[in-house]
Amino acid sequence: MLEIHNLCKQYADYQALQGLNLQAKQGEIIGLLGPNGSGKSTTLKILAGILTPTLGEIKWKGESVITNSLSFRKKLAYVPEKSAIYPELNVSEYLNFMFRLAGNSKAEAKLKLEQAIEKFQLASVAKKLCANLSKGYQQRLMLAQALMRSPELLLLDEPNTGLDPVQIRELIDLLTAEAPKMIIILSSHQLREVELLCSRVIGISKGHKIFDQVLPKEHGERVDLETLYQQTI
Amino acid sequence: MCEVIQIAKKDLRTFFLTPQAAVIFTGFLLLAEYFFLNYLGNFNLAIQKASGGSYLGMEKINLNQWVVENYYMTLMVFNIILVPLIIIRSVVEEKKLGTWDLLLNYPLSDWQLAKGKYLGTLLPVLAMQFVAGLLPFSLLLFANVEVPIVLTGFLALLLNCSLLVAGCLALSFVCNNPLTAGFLSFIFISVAFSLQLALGKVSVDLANFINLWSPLSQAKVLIRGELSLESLSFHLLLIIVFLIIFKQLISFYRQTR
Repeated sequence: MLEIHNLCKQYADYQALQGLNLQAKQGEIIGLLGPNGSGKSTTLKILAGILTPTLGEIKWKGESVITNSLSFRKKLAYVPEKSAIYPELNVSEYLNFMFRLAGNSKAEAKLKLEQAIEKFQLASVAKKLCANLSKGYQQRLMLAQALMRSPELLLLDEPNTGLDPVQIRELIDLLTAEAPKMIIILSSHQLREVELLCSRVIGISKGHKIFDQVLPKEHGERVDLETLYQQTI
Repeated sequence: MCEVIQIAKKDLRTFFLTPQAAVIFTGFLLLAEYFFLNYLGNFNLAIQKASGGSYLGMEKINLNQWVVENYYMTLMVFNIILVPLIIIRSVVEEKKLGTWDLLLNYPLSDWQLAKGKYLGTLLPVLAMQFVAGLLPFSLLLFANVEVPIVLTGFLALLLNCSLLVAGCLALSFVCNNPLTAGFLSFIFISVAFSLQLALGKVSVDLANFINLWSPLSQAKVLIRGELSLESLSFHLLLIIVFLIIFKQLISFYRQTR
């Protein structure tokens, strides 16, 4: 469904990605692991259409993403590492704006907004300014804006940064429930959470893929992610 | 088009929800009204002086020139401060908040983004200049003012704002700091306006060239009541050129960041 071939990204002074290859299919939750500056965020930003690769090909259902960037971006949603909110807007206004920006009508937005507020438990803060939200609520809001669009590909850059254990558990449950309908690719440093959430992990270092490991979900079978990470990266 | 309007609506809303907007709006309108009343007062004083004397020079005292033209020119000069104040809240602010990357991820073409941000930045400036620019219309009720001069002056004011915002927006896109963006915009408008000062000190050919490319010279033509095709084309052409540059910078940002 999603194919990445020989993806390269050259910044002014260094090579962030050096020939990354990856295939993913619906229902997979892929965790990108790697130290800071390894190319995880660059990969997500290229997939999100924010950056264009220097070299390489991305295909979605056999079609090139780079030449059909606009139609591909209709099918994906992205949650950046830092909460990207408008401080002057309240939660409802923010979600309404973001949903309508994706080309949806006012009537659709009204319906989706009600559903999202209920699903992400945002009712108590619906009229609160985004600037006054806690980190946990900001993260929920970011997820709400992404999932409201019913994406087929969900990209999350360090989604659990700054969240407490309860909020991380909620995030894992939410993403696990959504996973069968889409491909989820996330970057993280938290090996424990990645192990709980992801069906597959990819290690990246200095722009190269170091390992690609399927994580078995059956009882008894377990991959020691920490050892794998320490030995390879 | 719907997405472009959404971005513009959001920008307009977020601007007018800030306390700075109330301060800028009130301050600007008070200052504009002060200048308007000042020009009107000076005009009345000149009339009184002339009528008390020998009526010599009375024909030179013209309400259109003394009040309407001077007032619209003053409002345009205000853009040196007004436009940078709005620009610092535009794209650079979005980059700082991290919302710019999110916008780039949405299914919007670079053109839609450029047009949306342009409209969103222009509308607050236009709203303020629109309200201030209405003052000369009040003269139509009780004085002998030429309607075409008021109308073309008003048009010149709005076109001048639209042109400066387009130029400053393209310029500010290369900045990551709101203050740098504001400062660069200030320099850009100051240089564009001060082209006028060089007119007396250069050769005729160069003066003609400067006149052709000076925003103030082109606006002056309209303010004098002349609905010049050259002046209209100048404004529209430069707005389009700056928008194309802005759009290209967005595409370049995706490739080189």
